[in-house]
Amino acid sequence: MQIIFPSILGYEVIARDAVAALARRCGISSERVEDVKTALCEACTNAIEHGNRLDPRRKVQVVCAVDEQRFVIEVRDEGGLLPMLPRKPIHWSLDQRTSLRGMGLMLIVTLTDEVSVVADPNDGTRIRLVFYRDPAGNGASVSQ
Amino acid sequence: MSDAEGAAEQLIELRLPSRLGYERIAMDTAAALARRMGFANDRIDALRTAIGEAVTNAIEHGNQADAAMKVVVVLTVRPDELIISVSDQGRKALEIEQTKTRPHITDAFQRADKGGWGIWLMRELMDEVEFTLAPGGGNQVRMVVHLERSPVRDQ
Repeated sequence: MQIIFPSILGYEVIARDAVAALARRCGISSERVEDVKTALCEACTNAIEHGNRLDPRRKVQVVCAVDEQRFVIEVRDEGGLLPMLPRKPIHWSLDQRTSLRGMGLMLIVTLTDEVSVVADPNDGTRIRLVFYRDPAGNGASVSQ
Repeated sequence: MSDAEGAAEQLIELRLPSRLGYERIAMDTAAALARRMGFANDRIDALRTAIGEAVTNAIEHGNQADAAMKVVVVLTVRPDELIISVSDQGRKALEIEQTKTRPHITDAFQRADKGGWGIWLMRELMDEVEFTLAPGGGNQVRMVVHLERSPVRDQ
């Protein structure tokens, strides 16, 4: 499933509702669906504001892929900036935070099971959020 | 997208695999959008039903439930209306006659297949309904709902 929308703040909630509807129908727990929604909104607002610099002609694309183990969401913009993903929460107390910048990425790192980001000046930035469907979190217990 | 109309309209595109169940995602997405545009609840329910029928038709008939084929739903947001276009990849073309007939309830009861009401429903529920060919050669249905804001009974 894909959803493509203009870089206008507010449209991220439509993408959020579409993805939440899919996640619920995949049997993801309602608590986890809230995590999916929050992480996705952060990724989309980053794409709108930073990647596409609020230019409504630039599109944000959200691509969802589901298999037995994982619910994967990729958010693509047309920018090409490479954000620095913060480390896992265990390291946070060691960091001297001087501003609120990067809070969205910290949220994304906290709420997802895996996250990765790639950027290309021609291809834009793609952030990939992975949620394990198996509540135990190892993603390996599904019988084929 | 049309640059000429600029900020007057915005497009949201949803691409779905042709698997039954995904019509629900289209229904929920369109409802979320319509709610934020200020549509009344009964209009949102009508919209959900119409888009559900259109996407189900595209999945089952147009794309013959081949999951690899896509159903594309384009939601065009304008200040005073929402336009929904649903297109399939046209493995099976819709006959124009089918888009005009009104099912008879007595016939419908006698048939084993209880389907056949979708297009009639869409026409009843939406302000405008038009069947055309999709740019890629599939079937396309374009539906319009007008936004009637009620200043008194504001939800």
